[in-house]
Amino acid sequence: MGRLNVKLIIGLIMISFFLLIAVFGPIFAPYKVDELAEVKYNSTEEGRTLSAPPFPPSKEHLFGTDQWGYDILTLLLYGAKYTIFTVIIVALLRVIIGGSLGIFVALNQNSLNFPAKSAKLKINIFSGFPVFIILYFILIRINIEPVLSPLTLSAIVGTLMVILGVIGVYENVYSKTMELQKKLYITASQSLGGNKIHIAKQHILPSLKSQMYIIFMNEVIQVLHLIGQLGIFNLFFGGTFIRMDPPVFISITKEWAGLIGQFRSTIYYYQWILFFPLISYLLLLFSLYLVSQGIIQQEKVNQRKNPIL
Amino acid sequence: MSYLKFFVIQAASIILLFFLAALPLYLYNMDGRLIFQPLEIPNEIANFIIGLFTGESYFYMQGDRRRFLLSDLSSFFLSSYFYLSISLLIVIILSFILGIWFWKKSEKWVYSALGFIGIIPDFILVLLLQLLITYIYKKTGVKVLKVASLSMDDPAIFLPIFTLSILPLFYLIRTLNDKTYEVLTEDYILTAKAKGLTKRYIYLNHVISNVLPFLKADLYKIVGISLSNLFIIEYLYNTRGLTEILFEYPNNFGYQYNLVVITLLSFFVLYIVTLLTIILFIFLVERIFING
Repeated sequence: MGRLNVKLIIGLIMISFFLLIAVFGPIFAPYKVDELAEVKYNSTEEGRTLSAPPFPPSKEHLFGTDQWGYDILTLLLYGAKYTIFTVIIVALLRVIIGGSLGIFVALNQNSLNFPAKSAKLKINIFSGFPVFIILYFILIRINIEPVLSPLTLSAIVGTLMVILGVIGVYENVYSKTMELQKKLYITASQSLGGNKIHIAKQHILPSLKSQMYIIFMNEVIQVLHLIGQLGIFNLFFGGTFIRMDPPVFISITKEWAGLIGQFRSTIYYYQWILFFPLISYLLLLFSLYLVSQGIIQQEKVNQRKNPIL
Repeated sequence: MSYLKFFVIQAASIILLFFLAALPLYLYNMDGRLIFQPLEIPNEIANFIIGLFTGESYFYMQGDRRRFLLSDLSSFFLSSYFYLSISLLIVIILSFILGIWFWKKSEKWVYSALGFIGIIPDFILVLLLQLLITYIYKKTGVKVLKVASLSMDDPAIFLPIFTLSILPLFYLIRTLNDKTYEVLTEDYILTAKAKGLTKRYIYLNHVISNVLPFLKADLYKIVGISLSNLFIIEYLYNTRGLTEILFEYPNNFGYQYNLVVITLLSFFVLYIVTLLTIILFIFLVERIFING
């Protein structure tokens, strides 16, 4: 209707910005990832005072440094690629595998047999458990001080996250395809001799396209949640190592949710250390949300009826 | 046939749960190698089940002391149940008022804002709240609220319940909003309006009775969402509850299979008990307000 879809545009701009950071982040980084801020001597009236990390945000360290003197902006720029690409790849695989399975199974079933609403009891023993619990039990003793390389570990966790999410996408796409199959144009296509591949390509996929985008964005958001929750329990994506005396869990990959998890203990003393990773994570989430809302708005059918009261 | 399928699914998920709980014992890093002994797991499960009948599985070791698990568990269970059910009752009441009564079409940005807060993960919300309160404390020296429980006698109550309510609340307000919108477009509302019935009457007798079934159908999902949030919230606020046994006890007293499995099962019991509490509450409200 000629109106600009502000949400979609802003969301896409923000996401492209995050993608840029993910690809070129390390080039823009002001310091090296393993570079420590030096202990500084400041001359004051009483003499010289020592100032040691953590340094609050300043000109040299825009986002400040953590308690060992690592520059937080640098850590974020280095870690971005792990967060952003994992989230996108895992969600993409979930949608591709779950979606094609859903369409395939639905097309091989007679749409008349599809129950309008299943009255089955939907409760089972996993009803109350968050998804991360399953990953928690698998990872708890292999993710901390890992023997596997960060890449292998990421691949394992990524695969598990794909498997755990595929079922949801499958069910969603399956029921949507079943609904679509009742449409007259599909019956027409069938009686004209269109085979299943033809129907899937010409009719189902085009009408599910925007739905698929929405599902994809939701999956991205869910994977982001999942990584974050694991990070809270010190199971950082790509591996955790422990720095002794006192024991502190450190993210090997500097992935954002991992940074949030590792800086969680600084909350009472040095707020900025936790604040900036938290804000980056939230902004990423916000841009994803904007895009998904933008698509929904684009999609919103105009035939929605108006309320009477 | 469908009953058979139901039982197969239930049995499979219980076996999966038993298997998962045994993984930390048989999948681990040692001496620079990854060790995985899946064949030992059936043994462990069998031992546990035999122990259920001999009584062995109901005891666990707390350091050197051997303690009866069920009596220790019950106080943690009650505490979790307290947080969960109180916050869910708040959620149901508020979502009903906000979702159905204060329904407004015009304020789209409110709707969007609600949507965004609804997708903020629980742990981010907790950390932001904790940051905010420590910030206020640093600036003004006023301790507004307790950020976390320091000891058992002095638990943080407001923040955990607040956080626990807020996420399902926004989800529910949005769904009830959508449903109310749908119901308000129906012809019977038009008929009622044409008959000259008051707004109040139409809401009480037509709108609520048609939106309520959706709420009931969604209940199992909402309790699920809340219970999932409870894991994170108890952990981050350090409140006493079942998650403490699940995450802290293995660190302090070694990983004990029976302890973990029974705790996981009691989460399911917690789920069922909370669900029943909420259903009972809605049933009573319906009896008193709508039929009365």
